[in-house]
Amino acid sequence: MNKFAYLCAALLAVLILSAPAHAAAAVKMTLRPNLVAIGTGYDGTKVTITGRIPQGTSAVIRLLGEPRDKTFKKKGKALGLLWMNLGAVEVKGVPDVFLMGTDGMSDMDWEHSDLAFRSVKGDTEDWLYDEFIKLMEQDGFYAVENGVIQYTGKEDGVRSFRAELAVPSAMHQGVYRVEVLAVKDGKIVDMAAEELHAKLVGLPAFLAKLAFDHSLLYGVAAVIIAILAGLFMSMVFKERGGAH
Amino acid sequence: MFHMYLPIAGNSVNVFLVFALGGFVGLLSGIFGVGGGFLMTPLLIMFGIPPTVAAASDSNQIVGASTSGCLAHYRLGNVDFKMGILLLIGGVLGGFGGVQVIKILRAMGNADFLINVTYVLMLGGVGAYMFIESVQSLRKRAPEAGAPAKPVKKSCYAAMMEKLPFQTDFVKSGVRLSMLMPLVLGVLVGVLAAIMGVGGGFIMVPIMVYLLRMPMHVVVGTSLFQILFTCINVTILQSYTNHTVDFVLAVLLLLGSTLGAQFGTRISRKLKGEQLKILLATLVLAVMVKMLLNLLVTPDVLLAVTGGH
Repeated sequence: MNKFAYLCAALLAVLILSAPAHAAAAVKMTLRPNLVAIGTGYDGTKVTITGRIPQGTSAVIRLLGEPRDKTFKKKGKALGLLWMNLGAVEVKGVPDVFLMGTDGMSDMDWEHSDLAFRSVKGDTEDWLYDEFIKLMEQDGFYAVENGVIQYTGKEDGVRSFRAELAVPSAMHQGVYRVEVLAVKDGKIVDMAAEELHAKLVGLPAFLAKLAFDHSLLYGVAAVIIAILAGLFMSMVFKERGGAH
Repeated sequence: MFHMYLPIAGNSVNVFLVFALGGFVGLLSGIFGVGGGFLMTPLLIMFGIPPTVAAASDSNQIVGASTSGCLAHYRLGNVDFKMGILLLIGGVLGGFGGVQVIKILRAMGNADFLINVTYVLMLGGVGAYMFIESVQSLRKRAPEAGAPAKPVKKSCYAAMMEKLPFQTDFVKSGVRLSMLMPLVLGVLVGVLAAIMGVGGGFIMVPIMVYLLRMPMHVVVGTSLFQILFTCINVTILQSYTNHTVDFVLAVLLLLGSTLGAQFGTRISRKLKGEQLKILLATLVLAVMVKMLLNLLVTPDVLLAVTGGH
C-alpha cells in the first residue's frame, strides 16, 4: 500500500505539472550525509537537505522507513473491569519511521493532513490506525517538526531552501527514503526523493552479526562473560578486607 | 551525556542511567536474593527497550549479579547447596510441565488474562502474609525477652512433614526434613515460573522461608544459587531461539548490578531476619499494586507491543 501511495503522489504530481502551459521548475534536492553510520557512540543525528522548489510553493520534507507489517496486542476490558491484552491485530505496510519537517509558516495542520501519517494508512481500520499513531508518536518514531525549513533565496521562478532533520537514536539498519515535496494549497505540485542508508559499523555490527548468525555461541559467550564479571567483582570486593 | 547504541535493542541509551538502574536492582538482589527480573524488565521497557529484548537481556545480567551475590553469601556461609540443588532439579522439571500448561492455556485463549490475575493474587497474598507475620514477630520479641520460652505446639503441617520419607539434615539451613519437600516445591515454582514468565524468585523466597523453614539469610544465598542456573538456561535459550539477548545492554546492567549486589549482601548481613522480610514484603506488595493498576486503569494507548516478560 505504501508503494501505491507513492504512485498516487507521483501520478498527481505529473498531472498537475502537465496541466499549466508554463511548466514549473522541477524540485531539486541534495541530502547530506546520505549514509548514517550506527556505531557504538551513535545517539541520533541530523541530516541536512538543501535544494530548490518552484516559486509560490512551500517545501515539506518527509523521511520514511521501509514499509513493514507490525503486530500488536489489542487492549480491552475483560469481565468489564480489567484491562487486558486481547487478540493480536496487524497494521500492514507501514514505515517504522515517519518524520516530517515543515517551514512552520502556514496555518496548515500538517500532522492531520493528507501528506502526513494518513498518507500511509492503507486499508487499516480507523480506530486501529489512530492507536498506532499514538504509540509511534509516544516512542518518537513518528513526528512532525515545524519550522525546520528555512528559505535561503529566490531567483528565476524558484526558491532555495535548507533544512536539518533530526534522526532519532532508535534506528535500524536499512534504507530510508527522504522526500522533498513542493506543496501549494495543501496539494503536492512536485517532489524529489533520495535514499538515506543506515548501516551498523564497528562493535554493533559485530555483535548483531554474531547474535543472528551464531546465536548459540553468542548466548554461551554472554553467559560466560556474565559469570566472569560476577567473579571479578567478588574478587575486587574480597580484597577490601574486613569481611563482616 | 555519554550514550551507547544497543545493537539488538536497536536504540541508544545513556550509559550512566543503565548503570544506575543495574546497580539499584543489583542492590535488591543482594539484600533479598531475588534476581530482580520482575523489577528490571518493566523499568527497561519504560526506557524504550523492546519488551522481548528487555526480558532476555535481563536474564543475562542476572547471571552475573547472581554469581557475584551468591559468592558473597557463600563466604558468609549463607548458601545451602544441597537445598539449592534439589530446588533447582524440581524447578527444571516444573519448567517443562509449565510449558505444557501454557500450551493448554493458549489453546483456550485466556493465557494472558490468567497469567496477570494469578500474578497479582500471588504477589498480593504472599506480600501481605509476609508483612503481617514479620510485624507480629517483631512485636512478640520485646515482651518475651525476659520470659522463659513457651513450648511450641507443633502444627499439623510440621507433623505431616516429619512423616515423609527420605528425611535428611540440611546443615546450613539448620533444618531436618524430607528431600521430597524441596523437590516438590521446586516443581511448583518451576510451573509458575514458566506460566508467569519470570525467574520465580519472588515465589521461591517465601517458599523457602515459610514452607522449608529456612533462616532468612540462608534463603537469600540459596535463592541466588538457584536463580543463577535458571537464568543461565534462559539466556542461552533466548539467544538461540529468539535472538533477543542484547549483550551490550546486559554488560552495562551487569557492571551496575554486580556492584549493587555486593553492597546489598552487606546490608543483608546487618538487618534482622524480620526486617528483611518486611522490606521484601513491601517490595512485593508495591509491585502487585503496580500490576493491579495496569489492570484497572484505562491505558493511554489501546495497543501494546507484542512480546511479554
